[in-house]
Amino acid sequence: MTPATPEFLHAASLLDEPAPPTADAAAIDMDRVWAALATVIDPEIGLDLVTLGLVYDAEAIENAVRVTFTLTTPGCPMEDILIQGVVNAVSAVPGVDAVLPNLVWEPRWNPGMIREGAW
Amino acid sequence: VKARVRLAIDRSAAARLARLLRPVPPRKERSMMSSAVHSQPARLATPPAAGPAPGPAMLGSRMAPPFRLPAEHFAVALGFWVVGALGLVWAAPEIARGWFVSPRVVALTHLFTLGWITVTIQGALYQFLPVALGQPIRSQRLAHLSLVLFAPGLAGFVYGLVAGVSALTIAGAVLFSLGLLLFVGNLAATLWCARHFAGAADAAERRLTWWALVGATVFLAATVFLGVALSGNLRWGFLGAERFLALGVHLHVAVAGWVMLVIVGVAHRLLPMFLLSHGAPSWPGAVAVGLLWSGVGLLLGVHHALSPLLMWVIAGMIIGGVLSFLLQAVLFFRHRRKPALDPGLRLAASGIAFLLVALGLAPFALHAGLAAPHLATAYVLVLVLGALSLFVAGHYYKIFPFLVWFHRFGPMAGRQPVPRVADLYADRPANAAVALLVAGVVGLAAATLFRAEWAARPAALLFAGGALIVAAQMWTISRRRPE
Repeated sequence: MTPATPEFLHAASLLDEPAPPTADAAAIDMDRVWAALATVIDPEIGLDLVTLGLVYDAEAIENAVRVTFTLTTPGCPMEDILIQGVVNAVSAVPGVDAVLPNLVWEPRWNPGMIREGAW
Repeated sequence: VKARVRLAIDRSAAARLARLLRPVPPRKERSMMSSAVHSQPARLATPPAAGPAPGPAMLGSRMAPPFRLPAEHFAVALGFWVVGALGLVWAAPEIARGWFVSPRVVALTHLFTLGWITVTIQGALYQFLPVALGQPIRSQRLAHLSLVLFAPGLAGFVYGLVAGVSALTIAGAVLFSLGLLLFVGNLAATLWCARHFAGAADAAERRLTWWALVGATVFLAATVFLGVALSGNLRWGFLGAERFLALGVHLHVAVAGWVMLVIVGVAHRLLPMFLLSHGAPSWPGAVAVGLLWSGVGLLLGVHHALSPLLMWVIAGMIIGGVLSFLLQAVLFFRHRRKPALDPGLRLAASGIAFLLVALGLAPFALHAGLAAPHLATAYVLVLVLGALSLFVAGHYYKIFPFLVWFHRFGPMAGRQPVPRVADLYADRPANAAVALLVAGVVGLAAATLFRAEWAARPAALLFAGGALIVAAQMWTISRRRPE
């Protein structure tokens, strides 16, 4: 049998003593999560991911946060760096034990999603 | 019973784990999306451990080449750019006289077309292929080797031309041609691997870029063979009176077949990305690829039996292809969300404007032929130095700082404030470079058209000043590191 990866074991450990999801979710301040996401910039455009409209959703699941987001274009060379940026930024929020970056390509991002008055 | 209870517990835990890990569409779309959602499985990530930031090897995009590969190409290209710009000052009076076949002018033309434009395209493609086609270059070792053969070969070829050493010219031509053919083989193998793009989220864009790059690869190979024949003709003279026709075919297969098709294919992905352009129709780009492919293909196929009528048909197809590309570029610029153009985009826009000027001169140059060498020289100058060289220089301000940011600052994203790509260079010198380069090209073209030899060298000095600023800024950018 293939041994479990450390990531898998970490995820499994979250399930050992499950608590009511609402209680744990309430421990994470989602405003701080969104503020943390706003510190990650697309260096070419010069705007942060939230202003660009790249972050579609952020939700707390127990002590983890799942961030559903996209990139400006499929094959974006920034993919790994932005994923790691999201993880780094949200991990720093108090109460967050794990970050689940969920990269999606639908709906496809377009510049019309940039927040008005961004420039 | 114990086993059943354990199985039930395991199933429950597995279901909870699956819920935690499952990919989900964005909340606002959940009601309307189901199986149509394309998402990659969510990755579990734990908070980073305390300590130094992980290096690029841990974070870098999986298909991006190592920094060294594009960087060494850009360094070599910038070297040829500086030598070419200084050589321009030296040879400016000959250009103004319309001596487009003088050894110095031929040497300069190759410094810009091969040393500056082609080497830059090679370095940029190594970075761009994974983005545009989802496929990295087939062999990085071959990519290094092709540059190792190419750079000294071109240097020897140029020196041989200027010094009048035909053996060195031919040896250099053979050496850099070998380097180019290695590149052609490597790129062809990469395109073969990337030929299946149906189902990709960006399949339509990939298809256009793929066909453009396939054409560019074929026409680069043809350019090399024509060039070797012309180089051999310098010593053995076997082309006779046909040498000017062969020179024209060589130039146009190189410019319209190799460089323009790469520009059309790459700009179709990069311009909307850099301009944040949205909603622009993309049919002009497809028309451009089709017309350039067929026009240059026809030129190659029938160049040995070119009637005046056929020549105009081919010219019409190529001009139509370039006009379609210009229309596409204008549509991208008009549909942009980015309000202000940075220096890089200003240079690229200047290149596009010079392309329009070159198209205006082309029919007159073709009609007059060798009877008006000034016109032919001015046409090639605006095309190579104004349109293509400045378009390439503009992309340096986008690609090179991005590369440095990606490898040096990217690993810090989300941990600490990081600069923007545009923060890696100063705007004011960059804008000065744009002004000097544009003024230099305009001055040189006017001096050549109006046979004003006295004005050629000052104009070349302006161009050289702009070129040196670009090179100095790239050097500064390459030294930027996190504090």
